[in-house]
Amino acid sequence: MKIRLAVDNKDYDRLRAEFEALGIEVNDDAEYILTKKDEYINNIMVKKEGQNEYIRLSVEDIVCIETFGHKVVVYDENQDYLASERLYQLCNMLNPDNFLRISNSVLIATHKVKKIKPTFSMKYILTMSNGKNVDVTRSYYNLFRDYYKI
Amino acid sequence: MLNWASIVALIILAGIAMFAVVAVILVIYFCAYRKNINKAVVLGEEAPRKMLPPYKLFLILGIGAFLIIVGVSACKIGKNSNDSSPEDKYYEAIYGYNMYVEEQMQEGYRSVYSIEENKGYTKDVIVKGDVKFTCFISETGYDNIHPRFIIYIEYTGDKELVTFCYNGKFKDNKENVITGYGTSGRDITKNEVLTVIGNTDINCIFELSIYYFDEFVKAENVEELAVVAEKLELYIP
Repeated sequence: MKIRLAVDNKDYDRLRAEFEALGIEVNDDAEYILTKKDEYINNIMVKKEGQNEYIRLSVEDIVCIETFGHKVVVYDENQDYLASERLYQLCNMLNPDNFLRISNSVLIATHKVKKIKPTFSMKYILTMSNGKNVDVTRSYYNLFRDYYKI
Repeated sequence: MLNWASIVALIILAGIAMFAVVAVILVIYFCAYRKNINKAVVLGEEAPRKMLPPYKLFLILGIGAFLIIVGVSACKIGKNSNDSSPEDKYYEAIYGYNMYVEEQMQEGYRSVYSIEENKGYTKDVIVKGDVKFTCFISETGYDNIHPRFIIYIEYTGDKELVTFCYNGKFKDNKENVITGYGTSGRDITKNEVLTVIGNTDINCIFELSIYYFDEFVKAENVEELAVVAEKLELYIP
């Protein structure tokens, strides 16, 4: 059996050793994820497109996360990576004080918004710190306004 | 009273003006709104005030402008419909005239009134082309015994005229027609003097159109067939 650990750095090594002692392989490829209740992750495991090697990316570096069909792309300031979790899973795993879902396919780091452009419809266009433009859609428009109290 | 084309044009102009005003307001508001939310979202400062989203303001202003235009148009159209025509306004006024050729002239008029002079009347001779209008207007205004105005019409040209037509209208001081009469006519001899005897109790303009023909005609296009055509506008004070 294989599991993936989505826990704090301080617990990661201990838990890994315990599971491996029980014969459970800890692998970043695993379908099953173990995470601590009511706690948010500090890192996510991602890999570059075309590569098999997983990289631990700090959530502090994440600018935004976007889905394209079955692909979940994580953007930092310079590069983009592929995550194996679904967007809704990441929404639950990431701290809502720092991350906000703005559409069915985009999750942003709220402190990485560089510019916001309102429109005459129920939509905002955000420019993130890495230069990427993302849209706050109609369904998330009021949530976005309530979050920022605008 | 405006005609309907003018009203439609006014409504369209009002619509364009309202649209321009709404557009200017929206542009200014949009800039202020963008500044406000960027302060809150990008800089992390608390927004100075919670502002209405632009799309809501657009809806409010758009609906408001539409209602204003509809309301003003309805008032304008209602007023236009209520404004009475000159005929309604002068419903109880007295106005009318008769045209006489020499042989028709009543003995009573013939013996009292003359083309040269009439006591109690102001004389005015107006020459238009080959037609001479000798006009007399009562100095004492309307009474129900004496005519208010008398017009003698003479053709002074060389043509051999055999028929004439005429058309008289009473108009108010704004040139609106109070009432008009159809075109009538009859045969004449060349130098025959025509006489119009008219009466009215209102200040108005009497417009007389006269057409002469050198052949016997029975047609409606008198203006085209006439060899002589003149129009007199007589101001009745």
